[in-house]
Amino acid sequence: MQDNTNLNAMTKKYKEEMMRIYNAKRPAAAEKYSAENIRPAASAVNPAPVVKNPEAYTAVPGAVREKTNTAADTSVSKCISEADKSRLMNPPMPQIPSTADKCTRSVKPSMPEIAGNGESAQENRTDAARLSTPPMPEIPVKTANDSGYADYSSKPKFPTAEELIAMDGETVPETAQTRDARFESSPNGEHNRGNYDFSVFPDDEYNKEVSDFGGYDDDDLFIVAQGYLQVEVMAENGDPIDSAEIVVTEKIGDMDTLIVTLVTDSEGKTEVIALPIPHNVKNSEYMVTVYKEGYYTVYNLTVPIFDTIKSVQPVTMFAVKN
Amino acid sequence: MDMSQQALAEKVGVSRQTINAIEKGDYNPTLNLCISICKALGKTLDEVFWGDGDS
Repeated sequence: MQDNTNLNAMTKKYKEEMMRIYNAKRPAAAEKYSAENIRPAASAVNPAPVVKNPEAYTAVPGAVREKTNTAADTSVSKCISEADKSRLMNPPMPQIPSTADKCTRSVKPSMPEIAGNGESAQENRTDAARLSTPPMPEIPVKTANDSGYADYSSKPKFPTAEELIAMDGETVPETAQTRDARFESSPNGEHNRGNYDFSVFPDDEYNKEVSDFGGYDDDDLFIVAQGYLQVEVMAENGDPIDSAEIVVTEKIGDMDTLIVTLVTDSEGKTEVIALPIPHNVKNSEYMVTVYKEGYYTVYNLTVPIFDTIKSVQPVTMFAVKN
Repeated sequence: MDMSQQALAEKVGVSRQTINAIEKGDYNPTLNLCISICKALGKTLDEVFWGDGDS
């Protein structure tokens, strides 16, 4: 019991002496590593190392211990056994920071100097200093915020949908007037909806026959450009075929979409219909299928429609011979 | 070429505007239409579509 009491007292005294030496060296260490992204003020906020369990210390086999000139070391060598001294003089190694953890990596400061005698002292100076060094407190390097880099310690904060709406202000629904004004101010305003110039047709007869295509709701469709189609159906001998049914479809994706159905008049002609053309193409292709009883059906005749141009598609039907 | 756009269009079964667009380079005809035009004109594909543009 007496040995244990002395041992605890000597241990405490030893630790205090080592910390005094260590703290005396710390400003120099901080100054030395300041150029390597060590914040000098960090030494002031680091707590002093506390050795909670000296019994857990393990001796390093083969380690040569030297005498020191300090009073604490001398007193320790007098009062404790060799085994205990070896255990005390070999505290655990300071933790080497991981290079992967760049935000919290620490730099080991300089070691307390331990004087030695003779050649063996010179050879073993490094080991002795390393083994006798108490656990070093971590000195943090510059944090991400200090260096101006992004702070990865927390997730970036993006504005929510509500915040975006709040930033943009109140959304004003577009009216027909504002939309027309926007269209007219566009570079291709002459092709915009509601701003057609039917005088492009030289013949006034065309202008009378042109009728707006009614397949779409006027408010739901923005027609950038449009062309016109008329189908002329005739027999193989050139005679017009009246009452022929024409189905105009458009291939949208993999499906044929019905656009409009027409019927020929006594001259074999249909009315002129307007068909939309997408804004980013020169023309739009539509499919025409013509039915007439007593004639072979003409399926899916491809008809290109060009902007502002009326295309007259001739269709020749062949009579079914009994 | 002694054939009008209208006559060629009626012969191959397309609108005159389509023939006009092909000549202007505004429309790329299908291969079937190309062959029909060549048959109507009595010329080959090279002569019609790879010539010097005289026709």
